[in-house]
Amino acid sequence: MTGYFFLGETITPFGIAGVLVLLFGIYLMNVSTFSKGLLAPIKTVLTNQGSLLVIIVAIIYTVTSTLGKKVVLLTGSAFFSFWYILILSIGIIPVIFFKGESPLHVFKNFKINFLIGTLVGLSAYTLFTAYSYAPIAYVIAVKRTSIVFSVLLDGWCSMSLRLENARWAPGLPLSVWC
Amino acid sequence: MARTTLVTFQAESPLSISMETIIYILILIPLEILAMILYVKAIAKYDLSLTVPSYRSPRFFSL
Repeated sequence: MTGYFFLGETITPFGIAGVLVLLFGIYLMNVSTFSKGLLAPIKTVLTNQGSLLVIIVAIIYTVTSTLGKKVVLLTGSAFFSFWYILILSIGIIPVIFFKGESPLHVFKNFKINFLIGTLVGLSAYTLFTAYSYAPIAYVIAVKRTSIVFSVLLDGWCSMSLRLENARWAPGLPLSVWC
Repeated sequence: MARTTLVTFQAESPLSISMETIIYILILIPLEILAMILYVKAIAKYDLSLTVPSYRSPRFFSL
């Protein structure tokens, strides 16, 4: 909807079907409450504070991704990926201070943070390049499959590490960025 | 006599930033930071895995 509103983009009936399948998947996730009524799974999602926060985040992202595409079309993917990450990183510094932490913590594990930063930069560049080729709804839909890769990578890391308490550790930060 | 052709490439020159671009970025950045904070809060404070019924769980089949 935001793609149509801001960019005038439309999706095919197959695309709409994909969105509906996604919504049905969310419905199925709470299917255990189905006995309380047909709309109970939806109510469960809306009453769960955590789910509600994620829905708000998803709504915000629909706006930011469409506005991001507008900027990419105006400036180019390389230009925007560099300045976007830089401005975002500077913008988050006051929040880190507000939380009573120091942004200099990034230098504690510099090598791994440098690697993460490089990968995030590359992912931003490839994402913004994709914006130029396809409607925003499709790009974001494909981008979200990264969560599947995060889970697979999580499983692979867990098997490699063979540490029971580190089972969730690699996938969680990856999922945050996905 | 062999003919050689010199091919040169010019690096992508920075595009001029319009006021429209600046306005978009000024809207984008606070929204992105807000989304980031809310998302981190959501995964830190709430167990979102609870919203996914496990196939091992008996309640998954108790429709």
